[in-house]
Amino acid sequence: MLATSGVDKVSRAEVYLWRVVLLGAFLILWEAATRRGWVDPFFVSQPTVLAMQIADWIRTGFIFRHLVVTMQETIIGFLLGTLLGVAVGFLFAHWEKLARIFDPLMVALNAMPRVVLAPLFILWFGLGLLSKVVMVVSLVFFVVFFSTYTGIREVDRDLVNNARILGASPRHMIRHVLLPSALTWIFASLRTSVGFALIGAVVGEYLGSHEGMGYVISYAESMFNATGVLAGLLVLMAAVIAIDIGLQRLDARFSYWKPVPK
Amino acid sequence: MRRSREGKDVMTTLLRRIVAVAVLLAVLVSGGAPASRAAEKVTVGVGGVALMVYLPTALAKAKGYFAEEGLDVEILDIKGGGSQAASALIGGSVDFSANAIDHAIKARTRGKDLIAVHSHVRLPVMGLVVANKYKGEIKSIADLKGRPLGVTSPGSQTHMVLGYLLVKSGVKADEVKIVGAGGNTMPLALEKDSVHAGMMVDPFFTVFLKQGKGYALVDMFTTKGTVEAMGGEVQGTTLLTRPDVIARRPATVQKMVNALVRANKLIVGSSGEELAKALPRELSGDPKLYAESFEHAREAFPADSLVSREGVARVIETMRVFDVVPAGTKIDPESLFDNRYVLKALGR
Repeated sequence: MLATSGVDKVSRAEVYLWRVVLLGAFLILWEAATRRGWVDPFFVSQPTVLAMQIADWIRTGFIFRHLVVTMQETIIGFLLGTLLGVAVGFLFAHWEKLARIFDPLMVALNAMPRVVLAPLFILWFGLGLLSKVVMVVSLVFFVVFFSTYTGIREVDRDLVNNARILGASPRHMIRHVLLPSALTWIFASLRTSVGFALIGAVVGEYLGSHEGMGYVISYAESMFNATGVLAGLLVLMAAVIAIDIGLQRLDARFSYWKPVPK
Repeated sequence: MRRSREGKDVMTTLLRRIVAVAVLLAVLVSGGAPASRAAEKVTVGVGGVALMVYLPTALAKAKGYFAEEGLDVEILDIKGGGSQAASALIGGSVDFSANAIDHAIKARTRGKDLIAVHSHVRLPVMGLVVANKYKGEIKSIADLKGRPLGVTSPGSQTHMVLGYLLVKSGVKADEVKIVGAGGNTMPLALEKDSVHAGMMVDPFFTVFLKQGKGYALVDMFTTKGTVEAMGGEVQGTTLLTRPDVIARRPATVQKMVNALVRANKLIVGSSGEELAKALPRELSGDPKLYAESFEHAREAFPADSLVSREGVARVIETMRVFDVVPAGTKIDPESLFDNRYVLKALGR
């Protein structure tokens, strides 16, 4: 038991090593397979060509213009969706009646495939920023809403009762008991919904826009340019990883709020 | 032991029953389709089969011309437009695709060969429409500078042709905002002012103009309009296939082309009303409107079905605008089509 932390450190280094080895092996296999003609690079591109494409995009600054647009839509939609999700989740958790009235509606709305709705959003809200933000909000909202709702319902009853006995006002209750307990749930949902947010923005752009990563990918696709499509996806992946790391840091910073489990 | 034997018995009975049912079904099915020689299966990818430019394929199917050639043609209407249909052809999911020649050119720049064996239309069959709101401001293509302009999707034929029109009028490609607004949503994009002008295909073009919501700056449904705007012929939609299909099934290619040549002859000799009647309702939509938009685009259908060398060469030039065909790359138009099948069908 005493050696636990030491073992942990070693295994962590090992984990990193394995990641690098596997990734490297995958890339080498991919490159070799396309060079030897086992698979047609027309369909799957080539790691070296991909790397060159991305380097070229960065050098010319081409990709930043589009990435900024997509990130703008993602972040605005993400923040709005989160805010709305937390607010409505709180309201519903607090006001049982409301939750019971709207429960079927929420479930039904959540079950709707919003990606299919995207063309309608574009009709309703135009080809610009707004339609993409709405799309993102529609995806993020439900993830955050259900987590917040559950998070608050799951707060330790004893904790709530104790706080009440100690004379906590409703405001204190929210600030010191409910919110901190629900925060774990909310943060967990945020990491999931970042991915959704990006999907919303890119799908929106893919279907109708003049800039953004979805546009870049859609254009490359119509040019039978597998390299462009995959390079676009890689850039998006990098962006999501960056946001995720940021969120993890934020989560760690707020984690002192977490009540100690019994 | 006993138990497992019982289990086995149950299994055998079950198996016997399944076999019996299967045999019964087989008998029924074969009885339903008597002796007739099985027609050869052929799949054709189309990106939006109701569009006017795919009329020859749709008509040949509706009139049974393919069937008379001994082909069982299945038209796969592929969501996502011409590029997706061409991708399906390159990937091997379909044997042919009714596609703008553009896709064969794009494929060539990526090292894939597609060959056009029949010309569906010999004009672009699209128009550049301006919203009425800008009637005073936009009088020529040069006036489009700095404005948002709609194409059906980024990289599509409408995109390439628009780029060519702009460059010819001295507007650089990066001096306008090109919006992928979708074919069927273009009218709304114009009405909502998301774009000031857009490339429209039929039936949307005809409807939009008829409703008096906009005016055509360029009309490439007619020979005159196309020559004025583009400086000459422009090859439109063709029947594309892969070299391996030509190598393995040359007779099938000939039969496909025979049926399509026949369809084009019928189109040229028919009125819009007759054609609307010949098509299934889900393709003709409103027959009156269909007849009207056909009459407008009538000149686009070539009586001889031959792919035009000059037309293909001009399409290659339009694709240099956005570097789809890079400046240093030479593509021989002759290598993109093969008129032998059409000539044979015509008896020449």
